[in-house]
Amino acid sequence: MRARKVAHMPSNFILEVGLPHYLVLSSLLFVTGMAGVLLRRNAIVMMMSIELMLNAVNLSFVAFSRYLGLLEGQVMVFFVMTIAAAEAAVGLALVVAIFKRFKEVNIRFFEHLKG
Amino acid sequence: MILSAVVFLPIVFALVIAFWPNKSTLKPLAFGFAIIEFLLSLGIFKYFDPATANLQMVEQYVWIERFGISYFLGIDGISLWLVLLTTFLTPIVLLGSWTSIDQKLKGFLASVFVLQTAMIGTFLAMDAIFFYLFWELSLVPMYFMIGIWGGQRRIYATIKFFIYTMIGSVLMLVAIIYMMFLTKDVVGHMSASLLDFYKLNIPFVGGQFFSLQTLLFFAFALAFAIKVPVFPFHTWLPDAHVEAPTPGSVILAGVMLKMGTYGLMRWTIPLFPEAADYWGWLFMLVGAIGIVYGALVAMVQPDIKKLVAYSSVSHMGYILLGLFAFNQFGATGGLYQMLNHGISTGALFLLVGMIYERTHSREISKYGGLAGVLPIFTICFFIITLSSIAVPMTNGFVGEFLILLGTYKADKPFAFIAVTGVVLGAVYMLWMFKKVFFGEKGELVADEHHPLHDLNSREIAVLVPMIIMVFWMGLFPNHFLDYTKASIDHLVNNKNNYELTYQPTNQSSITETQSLQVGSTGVRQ
Amino acid sequence: MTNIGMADVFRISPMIILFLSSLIPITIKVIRGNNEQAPAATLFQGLGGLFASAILLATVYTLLGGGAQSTAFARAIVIDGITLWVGLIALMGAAGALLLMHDNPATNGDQFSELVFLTLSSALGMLLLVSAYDLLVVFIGLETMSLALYVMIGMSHEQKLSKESAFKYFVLGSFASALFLYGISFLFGTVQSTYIPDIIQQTANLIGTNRLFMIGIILVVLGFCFKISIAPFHAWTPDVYQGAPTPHSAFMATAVKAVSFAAFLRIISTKSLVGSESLFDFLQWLAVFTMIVGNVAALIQNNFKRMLAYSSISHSGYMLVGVITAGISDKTSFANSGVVFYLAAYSLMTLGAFAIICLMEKDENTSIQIDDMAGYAKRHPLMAFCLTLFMLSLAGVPPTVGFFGKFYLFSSAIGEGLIWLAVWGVLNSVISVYYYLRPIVVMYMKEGDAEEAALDFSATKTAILISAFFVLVLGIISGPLFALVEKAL
Repeated sequence: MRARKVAHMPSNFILEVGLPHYLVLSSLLFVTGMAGVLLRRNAIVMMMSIELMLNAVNLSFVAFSRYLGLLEGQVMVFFVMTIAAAEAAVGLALVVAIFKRFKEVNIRFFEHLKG
Repeated sequence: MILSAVVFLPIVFALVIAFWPNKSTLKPLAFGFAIIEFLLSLGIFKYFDPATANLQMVEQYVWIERFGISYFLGIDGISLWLVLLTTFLTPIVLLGSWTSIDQKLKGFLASVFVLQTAMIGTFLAMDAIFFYLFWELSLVPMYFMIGIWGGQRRIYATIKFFIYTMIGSVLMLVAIIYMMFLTKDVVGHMSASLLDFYKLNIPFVGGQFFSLQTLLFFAFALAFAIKVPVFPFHTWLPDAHVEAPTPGSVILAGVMLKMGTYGLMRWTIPLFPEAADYWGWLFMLVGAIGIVYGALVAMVQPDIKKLVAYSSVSHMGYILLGLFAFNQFGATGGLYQMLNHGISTGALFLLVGMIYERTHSREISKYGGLAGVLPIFTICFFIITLSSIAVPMTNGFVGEFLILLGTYKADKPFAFIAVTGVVLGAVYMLWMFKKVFFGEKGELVADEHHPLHDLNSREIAVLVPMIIMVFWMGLFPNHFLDYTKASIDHLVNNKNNYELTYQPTNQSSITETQSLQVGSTGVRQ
Repeated sequence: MTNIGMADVFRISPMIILFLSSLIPITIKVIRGNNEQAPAATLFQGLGGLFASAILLATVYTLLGGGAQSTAFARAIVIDGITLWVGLIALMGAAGALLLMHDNPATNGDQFSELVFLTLSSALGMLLLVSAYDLLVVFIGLETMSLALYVMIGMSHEQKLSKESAFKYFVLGSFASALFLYGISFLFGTVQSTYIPDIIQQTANLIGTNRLFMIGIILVVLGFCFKISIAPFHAWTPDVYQGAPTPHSAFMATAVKAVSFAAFLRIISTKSLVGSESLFDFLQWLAVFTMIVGNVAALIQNNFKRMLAYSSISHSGYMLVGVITAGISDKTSFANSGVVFYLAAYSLMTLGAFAIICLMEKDENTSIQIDDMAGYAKRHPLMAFCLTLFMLSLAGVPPTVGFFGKFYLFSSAIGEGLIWLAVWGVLNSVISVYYYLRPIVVMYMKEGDAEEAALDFSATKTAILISAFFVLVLGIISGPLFALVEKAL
């Protein structure tokens, strides 16, 4: 997912780091996280991927905040980090409950709810 | 007030029945309620003025102000006899099903009364959404009646009935909503009142199918056509009629099918006159096809109830011809035939039910020689057969003759087909009569172990009113037609810019008109 | 500098009261040394909290009049008509769910106080979500609501399906939230504010020109579509509803859906957004696709809860039609009222339907098939009649509230010229009649021994009777309610 804020590529794109670079990095991280959620089958890895997605968004917020001179972005980051932590707590609690029952954290055993 | 009472009293009855503690007095109670309702409906005559084509005994109150939907009841010559047909048939149906329905009696009786409210409401409602409410409501009790107390394939039949009818209805709902928005420009505020719909001037383009009036016309016509039922959409009828219990069949054939033709007469044709003129030939065609098709298929039926069901299809074809002839003879004949069909086919189903109660079989081949064993039954059956065939002196003759006259005036070829249909009608009915009643005694009739008893007094009491009506309507049709003359003349003469008016009879309707104006969001002229 | 003072606290007092009352049951439990108090007491504490919150919400709204001074916390929260009505729907859904949880074997017992705490916390998140005027608050509300729900579903006494369902819900819900958040970040970057009216204002300028804004909007819409189970992002709904304990399914199907739609309505439905060439057709196709997928899939279901899940997907489709109408309409209050009225009607019917399923569940491992209802009408005629009422209302048969909900919705659609959408909608209603009639057929017309689980179900039956009463009464007298809602919006 390439988001370009500038209309044309300046010649020193590689040398001078600006907003587009952060956005590109954030989108790469986000896509990686997305791939992890959709493709991996280990519950812990899926949780990690969700955290990765949320942190990618954090990066994007910080980048916008820095380059546009607004503080709201950084405020958002605080909230998002808190919520991500809460989500991680809940998710891991669920994983523990699953592990206790199924003795496995691989979700290939989750096939009962079909059809 | 009397119209509201006639419409909603049956629901009160249904609630009373639902909570009535004593099981043994249920049936007399229900019968008494039905008689009360019938007498109440007779009271309508006291206030009805046959000389005017205006809407009478109007009750109009604002219901959902935002959309201009009102609680709007009114009666005129067209709906008068249909309401009476409903209230007349209900006690007869209850008396006729005295012994045939014994399980879940409360539910059954309550369903009959809720259905009565829905049917009478359909005939009296003058507001489109109010009408739609009753139209859809009628599906539910009939669905239960067929599904719980019906025959072998009752679940299939009742679901088919429900869904088939509903498809047409929902398209009609879209059309109604669209027209409600159209009224905003004409009347100044959104309104669902039929009288305001009549004032709409919807553009019509002759050849195109997608012109506005044509689309709306077919949306309405489809819903009613499925109900009538018109030829290609009739497939639900044989199943529903055969699988329904006897009282269900009588009400279905006697009144519910008329809701379709009433809808065509009151809603489709006056609202969309140009489209009706343009596409009238199509309806006459399917009517004629229905007559002949119904008759031919009826001839080969082994099951007597199915034969009567297909004869229904055939008879409704006549009504269709009459309505779309657009002249006085046709319209009068169509309306009269609606009543006749209610009486004659209702009586036929009652008779079939009586014989079924005795032998639990409807196979024609197993009968024969019934005349020797059940003479009174034979006489009654024969009289009703004559009515169905439209022999002079019976009600059927008046109706069919008027229809043939009207069709001949409008479109000669269809008249010839219709006349053929009369002959075919005689063929299958008399054929069936011969097979069942004359000749050698069939296996069910000659069975020594199960002798058949002739009609008991209750059954005679059920049939006598029907027979009286057959002759009364046949010999003195003017007693009935005098009340409808003004309205039908008004409809036929002013078809292209049909409008109905009424005199505000009570204070509330005057203030209601004011409040409708106050509540308008559109521009007032 | 904006001052935060008592006025702001007053405006969020419903949420504060909800939070405080959510703490009462678990505090009492701790004081009693980790012994559960009588379930009825816990239930009443929960219901009392919800009721107090509802009263406060209505009071705050009436006193403020919904105008400019109804915002709080530097315009992060607004108490307007949507907040009031959808908030009431959410609180009603939570109350119904609590009644069901009290009786259901998968949820009652030794962790009922915690469940009450979580339900009220989730309701708190819902109130935040509907009153949010800033995208950050939307996110917070969304997450609060969802996290509490993940835990609730995971806490079920049933060991296999509920864990799977909780985990699926968690993963897909978090995924959707992350997408949503990413969209917010782009919107923030382009509009340079997270305040919703600013975004709405800037939409007209930016939607055609700014690619980043467009992506942000699409991501926000995608995130919401997950939450409200719009096809093709609906796949989690049947699994999660089937696996979760029935009270939680009821809660999800009613309250969560209602508030998510309300937030969607607030953000998305502006003329420039919904009416833009790119989104308009896309949203219409989504609506039609959702209706068809939901209805067709429901036809072949045998598990009752799964059928209701697909039915709720199809209802999302109808509501999306309403949201589209509200978006392109000039008479916004009329179209919005249609959506809100339908949300209320839908919540009542669905709550009732799930409640009846609760009656049949003997222990936490039963899974009710539709054929298990055979012969139910013989022994329990009143409850069978209520289920009939709910099914007919869901199908849209007059004179129930379901019919009028659809009528208002499709009326505003036709009024805006979306005739094809309305036709699709009504045809889908006819398709749905088939599977809504099936339980009725089975109950009345088939022989069987369906028996209620022999427990004391007074709380559940109360919920059923109240819902049935309102389904019928609100249908017959729907006019005043609609007018009231419209006045507020």
